[in-house]
Amino acid sequence: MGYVLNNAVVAALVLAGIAVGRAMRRSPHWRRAFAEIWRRRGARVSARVVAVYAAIALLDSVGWHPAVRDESGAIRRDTSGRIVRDARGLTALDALLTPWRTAREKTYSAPFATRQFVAEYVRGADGSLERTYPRLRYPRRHPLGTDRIGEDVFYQAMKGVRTGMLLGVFTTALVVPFALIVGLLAGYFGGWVDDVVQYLYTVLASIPAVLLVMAFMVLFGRGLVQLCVILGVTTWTGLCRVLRGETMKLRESEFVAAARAMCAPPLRILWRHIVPNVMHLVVITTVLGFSGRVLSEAALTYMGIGVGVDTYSWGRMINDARLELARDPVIWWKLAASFVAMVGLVLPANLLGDALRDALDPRLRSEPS
Amino acid sequence: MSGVSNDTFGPRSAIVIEVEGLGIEFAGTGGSVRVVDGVSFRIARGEVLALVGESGCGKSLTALSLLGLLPPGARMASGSIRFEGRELARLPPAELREIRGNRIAMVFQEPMTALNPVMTVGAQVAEALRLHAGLGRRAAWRRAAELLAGVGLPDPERRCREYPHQLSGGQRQRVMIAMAVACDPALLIADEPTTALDVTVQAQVFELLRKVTVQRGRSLLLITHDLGIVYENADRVAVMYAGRVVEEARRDALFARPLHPYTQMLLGAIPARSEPGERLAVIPGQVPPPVEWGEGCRFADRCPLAIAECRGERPGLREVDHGRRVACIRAPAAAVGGRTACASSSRAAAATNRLVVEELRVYFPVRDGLFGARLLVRAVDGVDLVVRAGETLALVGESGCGKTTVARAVVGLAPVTAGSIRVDGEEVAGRTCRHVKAVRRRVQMVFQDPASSLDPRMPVGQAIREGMEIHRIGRDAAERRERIAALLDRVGLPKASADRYPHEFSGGQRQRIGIARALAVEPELIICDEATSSLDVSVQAQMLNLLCDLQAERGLSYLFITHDLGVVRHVADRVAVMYLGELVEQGATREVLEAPLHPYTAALIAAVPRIGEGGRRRLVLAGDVPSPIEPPAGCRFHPRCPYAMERCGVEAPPWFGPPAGRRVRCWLHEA
Repeated sequence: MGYVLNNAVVAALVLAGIAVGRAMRRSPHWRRAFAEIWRRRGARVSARVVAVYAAIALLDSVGWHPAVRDESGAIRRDTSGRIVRDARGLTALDALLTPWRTAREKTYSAPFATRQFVAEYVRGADGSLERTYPRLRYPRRHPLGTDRIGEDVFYQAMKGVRTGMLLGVFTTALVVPFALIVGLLAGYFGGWVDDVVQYLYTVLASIPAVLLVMAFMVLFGRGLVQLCVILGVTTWTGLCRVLRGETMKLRESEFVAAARAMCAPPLRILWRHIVPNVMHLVVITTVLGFSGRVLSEAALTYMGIGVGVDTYSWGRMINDARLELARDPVIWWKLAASFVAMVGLVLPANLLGDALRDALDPRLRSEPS
Repeated sequence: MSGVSNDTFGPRSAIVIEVEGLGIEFAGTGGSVRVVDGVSFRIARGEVLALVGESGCGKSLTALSLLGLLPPGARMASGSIRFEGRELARLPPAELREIRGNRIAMVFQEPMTALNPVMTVGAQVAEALRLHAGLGRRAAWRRAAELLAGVGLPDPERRCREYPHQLSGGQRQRVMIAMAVACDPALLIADEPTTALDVTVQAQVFELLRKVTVQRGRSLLLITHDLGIVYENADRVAVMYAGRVVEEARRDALFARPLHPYTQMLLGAIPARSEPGERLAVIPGQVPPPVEWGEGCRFADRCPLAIAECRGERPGLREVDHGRRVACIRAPAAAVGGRTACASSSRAAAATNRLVVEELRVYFPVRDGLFGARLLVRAVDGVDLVVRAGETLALVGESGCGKTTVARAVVGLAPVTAGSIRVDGEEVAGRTCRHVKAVRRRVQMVFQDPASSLDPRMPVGQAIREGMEIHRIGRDAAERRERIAALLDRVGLPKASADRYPHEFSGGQRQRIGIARALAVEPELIICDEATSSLDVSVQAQMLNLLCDLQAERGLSYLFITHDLGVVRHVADRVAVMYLGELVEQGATREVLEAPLHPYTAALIAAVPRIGEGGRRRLVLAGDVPSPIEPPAGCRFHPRCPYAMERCGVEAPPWFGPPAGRRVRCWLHEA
């Protein structure tokens, strides 16, 4: 069920993304901003990295349920003759990563190792017990080693991409429109609207976020979508507060006064004058928030209140690594893998956010375009 | 004016500071840009030198370099600054610090930002004394109180314990001057010291500046763009243009016969020196940006007298009669031509009333402190105005008198507490756009600050189109585009401007955009709220000419909100003088300005520095405008009025005179 819901969300996000992209292409302002970004090498590289992550996440969202085959390779059928299909399903990413997905070892092995990391007692030919490091079934196959149950760590890190991206993007997609509308209305109209909004976010801010997440997960079950929703609930206040303040400032500005003197209706002023002038704040807060959400998923899963145990995620990997780090010799690759995967997403996202902010602020732009 | 000898520089020994070939560069990405290029001047003891120029000419940087306070990125690239015989450029930082503040001090433009808001003013003055004069804590405090008394702050002991925000603008500037002269510097630099202040306060501040410098044998370097101030206060004048000094002369000589074409045109651009209905002399084009400065005369492209040789080599400052120096190869023979009249001005106002304001009151509630009582700011308290079709009414007064609030109430930006505002006979007070949209279209506003009144993220064309869309002017996008192009062309901007953003334009160009935006909805009345005050004299002249032409073309009416009586004299048919939320005098411009009836009007007129009339300002009003929360009883002007009688403090005077003509609210003119 969870998977279907997730994929509906992914489809909605992709469609929304395309719509926003087309709208931006039409606006000369945004076209110019993106051209500006594209001129910077750092931003270009960052954009490509984020795009690769997004592609991995998309590949991991398209899947099918292959027929189950028995040892002889024949398709298994149930009593009524229908083909039995794998309940878990297989994604395009799984198919791409088949060499690593199926290469199961017995237990831990270091990156690119030929032998198992843990010694075993093997009965030799002469019948005596011998302590050896057995050869791996797939030597030099695992670029990031394997974990306690012998699963490839590289495969896990790749599977975590979708969880991280979905969390970041979906939560953002939930938060931004809400915070934008609420923040603008509160800031522009003031009065009772502002009172209600302020009351709402002060109450929310006074409840410890972890407690709120925990309660929500208990109520609605652990799952990716649930996590996105509750992370949205706990994080919209920050953006909303910033937008409310900025709107209050802009409301008093002369150019808004000029529009009001022209009899521009409030919604037009909000949409034409205030939204473009707070967009850089939205962008920078969103991108930083995106990183924050990816990281907080890891933290929450580590605490056992994040995504379910059947979902691959970087948080789960870190949680697993907790005990591994206590071993001697230390098993570092699972933690390192999740860390690198996370930084690889969060850092370019932040750099991109910075570049975007600079490009969107015409006053910071160096040359007239 | 002061004890300087007839020779241009006086005896050499009396030279306090001597700047020679000063060059300042800004390091940029594409190499460095020279923004001050070979500036030389001397100031003698007890002399006032005015460094005049329009924004961006490098006058402030020149001043800052004398203190070694150039902003980051700027450096002194060439030249020498000799102060009391010592070369400042080669002085080690410790000795430079010793001189700065101690021997050379500066008064900045904006006293609010130059004072620390979380320190009491006494502590700030005392700090300067302890640092430079090495006084102890108590001695410094006592001296601070003395200094504040010396700059004319009433009740200095109490003021010492107050914070900057508790003082008025004029009082803050007095504190700044007290700090600057704390160590009795030999040279005081005042960089636009009164730009942020009202004319009446301006006069007080200059009185004080002269008292603490010239009258004690100290020198004053006055940086300003205001030629009126220069005329009144300077002994000698150096005119800067595009990083160079183009003319230097004694004041009287300069104003009597300016030699450089730029100076001539600058003086011609002053509205106060022209006749109403006359076009102001305009310098075509704009100051070129530093990156485009080539060899040759930098004014050549805008100069009507330019000849081929002007573009060849750079004209140096050369001496012409009696120590006057000018950097123009055509001087002193050539003179710029005279003025022309405004485009077919049919300024005879029609009988119809465009705007009628009656008994307008605008009160704002404020709270006194966190839990304090609710108070009312009586920003506008019973104002009557009439603007007729095709005429210009000027609403004049000092800042805080409520003139801007009147303007904002008329266009529906300020809530009307009571009274009526009728546009073409239709009531708009208290009505929202939904009900009176068609009427609101007919009244448009041009705002004071062209930078903040345009949306920074909206292309200019879109900003102009907005009003058209709201009021459904023009059938479709294509027609609107045509109209926008025509409007931009009319206000003197290239058609390609439509796709550009406001930050790509200069201040004057932005104000043109503001005018185009107002014109886009085909208004009948345009309210100009200090629309030209933030502009340089030459740009202001272009703007006033444009407004003048538009009035003749389209039969527009203007409500001109301003504090500049020179502008009023030039543009207005009638004047209304406002003081503390009330009108005090109304009438035809010429009558009011030449024979003011109300003492406040007289004081305002007297406070304006006048060029070419010899004498100094006469009546200087004491004190500041009282708070509009608790206006004085009786006549609101009586606490500052030199003619106040007993009756004035008790009973508010009614209007004396016919409602539509010349009238005044003052007991002096009873019956």
